[in-house]
Amino acid sequence: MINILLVTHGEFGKELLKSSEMIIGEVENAESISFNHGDSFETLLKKVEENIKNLSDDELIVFTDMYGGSPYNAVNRAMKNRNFYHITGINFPLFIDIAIARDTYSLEEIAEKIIKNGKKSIVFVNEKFLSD
Amino acid sequence: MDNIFVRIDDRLLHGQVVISWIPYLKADEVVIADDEYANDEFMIELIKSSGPEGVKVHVKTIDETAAFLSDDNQSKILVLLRSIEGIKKLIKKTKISSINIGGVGAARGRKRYYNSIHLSDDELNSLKDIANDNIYVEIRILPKDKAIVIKGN
Repeated sequence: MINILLVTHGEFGKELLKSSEMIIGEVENAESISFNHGDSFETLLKKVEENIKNLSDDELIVFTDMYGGSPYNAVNRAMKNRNFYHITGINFPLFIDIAIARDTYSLEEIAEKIIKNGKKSIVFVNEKFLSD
Repeated sequence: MDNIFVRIDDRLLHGQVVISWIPYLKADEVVIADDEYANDEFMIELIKSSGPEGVKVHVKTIDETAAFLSDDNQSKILVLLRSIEGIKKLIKKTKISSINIGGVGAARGRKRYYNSIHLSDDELNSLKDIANDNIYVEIRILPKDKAIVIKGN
């Protein structure tokens, strides 16, 4: 099974895991690294590298919360000499979709279909009802 | 009967159902069996908008649901009801072989029975009565959870 690593500002990743479990039950092979106030970037980078060093690129998918943020930067740095999938801007429905799909789809399929679909998960509800 | 799955869940169509149950059951259609909502245009629109793509969502009264289920129907149907009162009415009108209890919130007079399932003494007795009529009654919140079977007296 493909392993999931979340790297986020504060407890967002840990809570995203917990929230997902309300919908799909236990999420296996998933870990979260929290970057908290006062933590150094170097420590964060070390934690990320430590976490992924025993996983090969084709059995790992890493999520960060925001393009350009420290978790994103740390994961990008950890991508030096490596080629695992890194998705930033993760949200609840997209995370759930991927957590389920990794049982049946390859990483390439996940990247192509599900991540592209994930953009549809943000809906301006008023507009949707107006147009229906 | 294998094509019909009946669930009591007071949140009706929500995350657990849309993401976990509908794909697990491979349901083609969802029927919300609810006398109140079936007569409320706003609720009908709201409920229908929360269904996943490719799945037909109906909002019907209990009587209409019974008629719909009695039709010779080949599609996989998930029936959702908000309450145990509703299921008592439905099984009087059509044959149901099993019932899943997936979500009954806390309320006055109810005690926590298992996980997120809260039941009053009357409700628990009603479920036991239903089980006595050779209907399989289980508590199972998510498909991969272990079923807690409610047995008759």
